[in-house]
Amino acid sequence: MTELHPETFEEYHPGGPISSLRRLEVLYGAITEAAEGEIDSKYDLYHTPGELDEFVVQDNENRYLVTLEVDVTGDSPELNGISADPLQPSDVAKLGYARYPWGRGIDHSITERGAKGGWNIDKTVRYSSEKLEKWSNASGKEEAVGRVADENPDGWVIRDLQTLSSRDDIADEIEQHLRPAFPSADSPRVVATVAIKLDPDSLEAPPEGTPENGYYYPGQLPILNDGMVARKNHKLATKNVPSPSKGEGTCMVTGERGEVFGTAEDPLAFFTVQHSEKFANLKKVESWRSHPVSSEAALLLQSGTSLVENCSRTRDGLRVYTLPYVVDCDHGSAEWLYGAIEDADETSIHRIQQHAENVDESFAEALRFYVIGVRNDSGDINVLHEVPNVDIYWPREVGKAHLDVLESSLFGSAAGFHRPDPDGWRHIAEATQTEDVVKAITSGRYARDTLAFSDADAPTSNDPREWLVTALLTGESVPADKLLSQYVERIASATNPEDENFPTYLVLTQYAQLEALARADLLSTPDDRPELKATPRTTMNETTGPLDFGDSLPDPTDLEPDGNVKQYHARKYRLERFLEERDAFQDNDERCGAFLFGVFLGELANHQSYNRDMNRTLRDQHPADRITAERMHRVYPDLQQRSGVYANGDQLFPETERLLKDVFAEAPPDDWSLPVEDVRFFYALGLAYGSDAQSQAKQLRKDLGVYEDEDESGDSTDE
Amino acid sequence: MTNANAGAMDPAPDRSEAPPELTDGVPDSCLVCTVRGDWAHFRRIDRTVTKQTYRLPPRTTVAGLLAAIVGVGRDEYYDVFDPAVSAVGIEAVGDLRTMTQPSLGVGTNPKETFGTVGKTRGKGISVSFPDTTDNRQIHSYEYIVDPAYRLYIAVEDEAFHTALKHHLERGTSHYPPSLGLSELLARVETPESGVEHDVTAVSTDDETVTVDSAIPEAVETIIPSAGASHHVERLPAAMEADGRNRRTTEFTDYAFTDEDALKASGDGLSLGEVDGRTIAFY
Repeated sequence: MTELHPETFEEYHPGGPISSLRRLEVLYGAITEAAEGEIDSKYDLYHTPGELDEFVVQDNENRYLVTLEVDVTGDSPELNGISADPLQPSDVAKLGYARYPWGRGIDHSITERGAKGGWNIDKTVRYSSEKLEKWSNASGKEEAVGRVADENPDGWVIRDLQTLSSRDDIADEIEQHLRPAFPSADSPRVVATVAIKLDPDSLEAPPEGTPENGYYYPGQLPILNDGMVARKNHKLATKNVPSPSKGEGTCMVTGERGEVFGTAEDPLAFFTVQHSEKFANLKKVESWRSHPVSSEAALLLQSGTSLVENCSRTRDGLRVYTLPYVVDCDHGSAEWLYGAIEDADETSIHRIQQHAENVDESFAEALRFYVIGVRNDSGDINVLHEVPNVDIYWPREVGKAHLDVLESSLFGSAAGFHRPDPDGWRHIAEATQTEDVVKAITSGRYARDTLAFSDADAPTSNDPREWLVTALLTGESVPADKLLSQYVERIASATNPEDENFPTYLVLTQYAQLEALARADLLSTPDDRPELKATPRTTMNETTGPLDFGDSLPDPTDLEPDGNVKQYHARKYRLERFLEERDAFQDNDERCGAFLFGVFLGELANHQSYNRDMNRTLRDQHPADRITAERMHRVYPDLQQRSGVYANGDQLFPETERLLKDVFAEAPPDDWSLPVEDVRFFYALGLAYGSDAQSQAKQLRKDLGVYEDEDESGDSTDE
Repeated sequence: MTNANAGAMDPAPDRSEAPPELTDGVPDSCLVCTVRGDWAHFRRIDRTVTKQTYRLPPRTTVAGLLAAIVGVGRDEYYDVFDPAVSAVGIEAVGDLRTMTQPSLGVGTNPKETFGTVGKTRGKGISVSFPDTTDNRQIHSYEYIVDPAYRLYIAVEDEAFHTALKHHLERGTSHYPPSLGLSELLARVETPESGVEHDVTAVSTDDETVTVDSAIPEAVETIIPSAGASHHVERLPAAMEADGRNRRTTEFTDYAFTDEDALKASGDGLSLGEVDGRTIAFY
């Protein structure tokens, strides 16, 4: 495990609870700094050596340190030569590198990082000479460095650099020196810097470390570090504002009083001064009043940025940050967090939680996740959800409930559906375990696999799938009607009119989810339909009545007293039991009617396609997203008639037809008050049930040992 | 700045009331009212790009709301609400649900959507203003739906106390109180049992206490229970005037919930009992 330097962590960690995103980001900054080791100097927090990780020599790739060797021992500064050597990791510290991370603009340090795509010799020359000129304030645009040059007793070093960079022929001179030293015609990754030959005694603040051939690198020279610090501090107060936004105030992160800055960068770009309506008199320079950040906090925010990014990933255009923490973070916890983030390919809640549980149960209990989903449409940033304190409790509860559902009579030959293979639909597959579901919940898949897609052309700030993700993480209750209408919309988009496949496993997953939410007590239902959240009456453990034994098998005589169980008996038993066990049907005739209508139509469609080779079945003609009670009422006689025709004047599925007739007599569909999403979803569930009815009935007979390999042509009426 | 509203502070200036006194942050009496509205938006200070809201009104916002009722000008009431001489308890009585709604706004970026009139050189007045003829910008705002907070207020400043008490009793206010944004008006309700209530200090000796209000400053003392989540927010707590402006002087972490009252070890809390409810004052 990577070790965090204890004193460094102690120095930078502000202490106190993690009570805001900023405080968490600062914690990550302190962790990052502590991972880099001991604090060497007062410039440490400003330096960003990690940003050169991809610029040091690795394998056989050519990566170079280009050093302009400047001699300031004489009367006027001279460029004595340029070296270009492979950049070794051990060189990084002396470069004093401080990156300016946002797009255009030179780095804070005089050491400059080239493009990741590499620099050719022309670019290296151009940038080196420009950097020298800009950074030293020879062009007058770096007033902060300029002030150091004027006011610092050692400022003459910077002034000498100004002089040098102001020479007309400096670019040519650099090129002449560089050309023989530059490795090839290729464009290697380049870090350009300036090394200075001087007499250490001529400086007030002596250089640190030993020179190389008499030359000191920027990290070794306090005067160049001071210039860097001045420039970086200046940016904290002046990013996007004309004059510095700073003053005496209380830091919003640390709570300490002192100099605060108004334009400190926010790692997630949630704060910019462009939105000036938030500031006194609409003035950006007043931003420090309402957004006061101390320089140390601002620097730590920057240091922590890459660790924050490591904890994010993108799904469907949504950037999701999952930041692990413990409320009261000490050195040990911080070390563990850092290790977990570094080790994980992705910092999924599930993975890190499990990891923690393997290590230390009480630590695992204290573990929390700050989860934010951010959509950034070319700078138009919306936070779709933000939960600062996710713990594993609710995902586990729902995961357990979901497993209970999978093991209930919803699945199995006794009354329910066929479960897909492991390769099939993942949340309801044979092999699905609680931890799989917990993983799916925390990663958002559990919600995203069942709910409607958001409109890709018009991304909104309210993605319904993200709403469910949040609810599952927080234990907020889920309104049943909203869920049902989302389900129906998803079914519609999964139903291809050209393709006769009905998304059975999608509907099953949705229904399993609905029952799981009800079991976990997370479903809220309208007052007039409380039965929706009633959990099925049977579980594995309660076996009391004849129809009441979970998914365990009945006795053949339960299906037919003489034990001579035919297909019809099996179908009848299964359907009756499925209804019997669910209050959602028992206590609501309209919903029961919608379901049975779906079952009947599904059975007929199945018959049409398998026994009559018809391409366009009834199911294709009446998709779930277009069904209404009125339409059921209208189509019902036609279905009855077809059944009669197919069965030569008899009924093809008498058990279904009888139940449907009874329930329609009790509650005629032209008189329903059930909301349309409720009608449609349970109709869709009926379709799924009906399509499976024959094969599951056959399976039940096989399971009971009463199936004989009989003639299947008359399968539907073989009483 | 002179106080244009001098005299507006108390509807009955002759009246005087004994203000509460604080001992270790706990007052001996307090004023109680409930502010309620259709929507609230308490902008998170660490954000401008995304328009997100705190779930709990910051103490500084509560102070501003009460100052509006009393009719004190901006920048003139910060001393009254200095934590050394005032104590505020905040209890969420609504369910803290939030909703995001897009809304159109006038751009305020000085470089892009600002107009200027008046003299541009020499002596004279020039006025800059957001250009209301330009296209509006769409932004999604997060609002709290049906917000309701019960406030327990104790200020040692006699004039403010008297005026606030009087306004609450009469159901009046000088400026319209609002919940975060001026268009989100607040209704103010007072208990039937009266506006002013005695506060009995609750001893905090190493016991577990159930606290009905939001708990400031002692987030780590919360005793969690599985499945019951609570919010933690770091909120601005006190301000001071600074020339013609103001700045925040304190930030405080608050823990709160809209579910069952939180349990905490009383460590470091200023707890008082008001009408059988345990309130943490700050």
